[in-house]
Amino acid sequence: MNRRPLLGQLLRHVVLWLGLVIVLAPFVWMVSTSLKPPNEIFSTQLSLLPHKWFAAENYHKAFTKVPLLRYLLNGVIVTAGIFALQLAVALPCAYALAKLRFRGRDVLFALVLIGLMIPAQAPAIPRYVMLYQLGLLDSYAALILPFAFSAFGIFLMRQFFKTVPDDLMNAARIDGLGEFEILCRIMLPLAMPAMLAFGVISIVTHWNDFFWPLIVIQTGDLATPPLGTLFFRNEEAGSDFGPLMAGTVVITAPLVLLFLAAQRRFIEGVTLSGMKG
Amino acid sequence: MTKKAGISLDGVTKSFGAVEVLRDVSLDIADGEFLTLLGPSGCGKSTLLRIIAGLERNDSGAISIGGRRVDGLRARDRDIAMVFQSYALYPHMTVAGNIGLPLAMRRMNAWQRLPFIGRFLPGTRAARAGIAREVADVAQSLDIGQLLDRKPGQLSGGQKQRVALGRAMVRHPAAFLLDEPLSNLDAKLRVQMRAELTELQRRLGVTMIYVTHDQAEAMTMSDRVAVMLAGKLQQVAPPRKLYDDPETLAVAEFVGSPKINVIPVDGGFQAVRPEAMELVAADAAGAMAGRIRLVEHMGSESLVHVEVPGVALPLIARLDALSDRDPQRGEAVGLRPLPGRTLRFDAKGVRVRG
Repeated sequence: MNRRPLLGQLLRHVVLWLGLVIVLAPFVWMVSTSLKPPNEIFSTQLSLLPHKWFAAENYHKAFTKVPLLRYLLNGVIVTAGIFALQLAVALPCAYALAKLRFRGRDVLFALVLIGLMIPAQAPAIPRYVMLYQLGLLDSYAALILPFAFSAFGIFLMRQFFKTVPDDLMNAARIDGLGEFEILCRIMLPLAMPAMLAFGVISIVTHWNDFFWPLIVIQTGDLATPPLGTLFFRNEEAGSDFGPLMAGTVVITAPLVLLFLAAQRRFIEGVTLSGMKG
Repeated sequence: MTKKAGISLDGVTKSFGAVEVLRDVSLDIADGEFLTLLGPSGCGKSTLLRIIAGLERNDSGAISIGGRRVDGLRARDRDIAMVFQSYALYPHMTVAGNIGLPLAMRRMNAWQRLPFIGRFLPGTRAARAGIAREVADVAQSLDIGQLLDRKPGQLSGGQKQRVALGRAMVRHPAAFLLDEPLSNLDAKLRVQMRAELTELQRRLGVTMIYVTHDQAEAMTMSDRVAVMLAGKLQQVAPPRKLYDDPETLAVAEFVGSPKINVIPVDGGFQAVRPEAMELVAADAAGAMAGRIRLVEHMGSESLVHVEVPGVALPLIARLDALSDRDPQRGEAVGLRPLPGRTLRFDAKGVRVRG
C-alpha cells in the first residue's frame, strides 16, 4: 500500500466528519432535549441521553398544548398546493422557453433569470397589500398564491427540457401529438427526476418558511408548522424547551423522510443527467 | 395498401434569417419511387426533408403529396412518416408503445388514451387489442417481435433502427421520409441495412425520400438521386447516369470516390474518372507526363496518384488488381484518358456536350 493516498484519504474523512458534526449537532441536540425533563435540560452536565426519560411527557404535551397535527396538516396543504400550482405554471412555461420558437422568447427568459435573483422578502409588502385588497389575508390562499410563480422552477425545468433532443418532439408531432400532449406524454415522464428535485426544494422551502406565514396569518388554525412553534412559545409564557423540541422534531421529521425517500432521484435531477438518444 | 403518393415540389425556398438555405427547389417524385437527396452537410437537404414533413415552413413555393397541397397542413395531417438519424424513440415507452403510439393517436380519442380512466371507456379495449395485433405484425416483419417489452435503452443501434422503421410502417403512410437513418450504425450493419431498406421499400411499394451525405448509400439504393449543393438542386438522375453523365462539374466532383480528375484547359475544364485514366509510358502519344507521388493498394485495385506539371492536385488513375503493372513511387509515367471518356465543362462548370 502506498502511504500518501492513505494519508490523503484520512484527511478527507476527518474534514468530512468535522463537517458532518457541525451540520448534525443541532439536530442531535434537538432530539436529545426532546427526551429530557426540564431540570436536566438546564443542568450544567453535558449528556446526550437523559438520566430520567421524559420523552412520553414531552411529546404528549407537544401534541396536546397546541394543535400540532393541525399545523402539520396545514403544512401539507400549503406545500402541496404551492408545488401543484408551481408545476402547473412552470412546466408549460419551461417547455415554451426551451423548445418553441416565438418572438420575445429570449427577453422572457431573461426576465425569469432576473426573477431568480430577487429575494422572497423584497416583494413582501406589495404582495401583502395586494392580498389585503383582494380580501385574502389570513387564508390558505394568502399562503399559497404568492408562490405559484417560481422563477427557479421555470429555470430548472427549462434547462432540463433543453437537453431533450428536438427530434423526439418532431417524431411525436409526426405521430400525431399536439404540443400539450407532447408536454404531458413525452416531456413529463422524461422530466421526472428534475421535477422531483424541484419538488424537494420547493417543499422544503415552503414547509420551513417562517417569514411569510408570520406576516399573513393571524388565526392559529391556519398556522404552518414553523409558525405553530411560535404559538407554542407564546402559550407557554416561559420556555418549556422539552415539549418545544419535541414539537420541532415532529415538524422536521417529514422533511428528513421526504429527502431520504427521494435522495437518489433528487441528485439525478440536480445534476441534470439528460438522456441520450 | 398502395396509395397514389407522388410528391411534387414547386419553387420551394427557405431562409433562416439572412441565410438562404433552399433556393427555388422544384422536384417531382413518382409514386413508389426511391429518391435520395444527396449532398454535403449544410447543403439544405435535411431542411428540405423537414419542409416536406411539415416540421419547418417553406417561405414560398408549393408542396403536394398524392396530388394534395400540403403546405398549410401540420405534420400529422400530411400522411407521411419519418425516420430520424437519432431514431428519436420515446425512451420511457416500450418498443410496443413506441410502434403503437401513432395508431393510438389516430384511432382512440383523447379520453380513451387517458391512463387508467381510458381503460374503462367503451371501445378502448377493442382499439387497444387491434393496435397490439398490428404492432406485433409489423414487429414480426422486421424481426423484432421478441423485443416488444423492452425499452429503447436496452436495444442495440440496429434494433433501435428497426423500431424506428416499425413506428413509421405501422400506419401505412403515403410516403416515408428518412433523414440519414444509417449514419449511427457501424460500417458492417450499415451495408446490411442498406440492402434491407431497399428490399423493404420494394416490398411496400411506398414512396421514399432518403437524405444522406453518403454517396455509396445514394448510389446503391435509389431509383433516382437528387444532388443538392448550397441549397440548389444540381441534377436529378438515376445513379448510373449521374456518375457517367453529370450536368455540372460540381456534381461530377461530388459523386464518385476517388474524386474525378479535373484538368484545366482553355476556356474550361476536362474531367476524367480515375478508372478511365490509363497509365502509359511517359512518352506515349497523347499522354500527360508526370511522376508518381503515391500508390494506394486497396486490394481489388490500386490508386496511383500522379503529379502532372500545370495541374494543382495529383491526378488519380485506378489500376485493376489484375494488371501486370507494378507502379513505383517516383516513377515517371504518362496519363491518357480512354477515348470518349473525357467530360468537358465550360469556365462556369456547366457541361459542354458534343
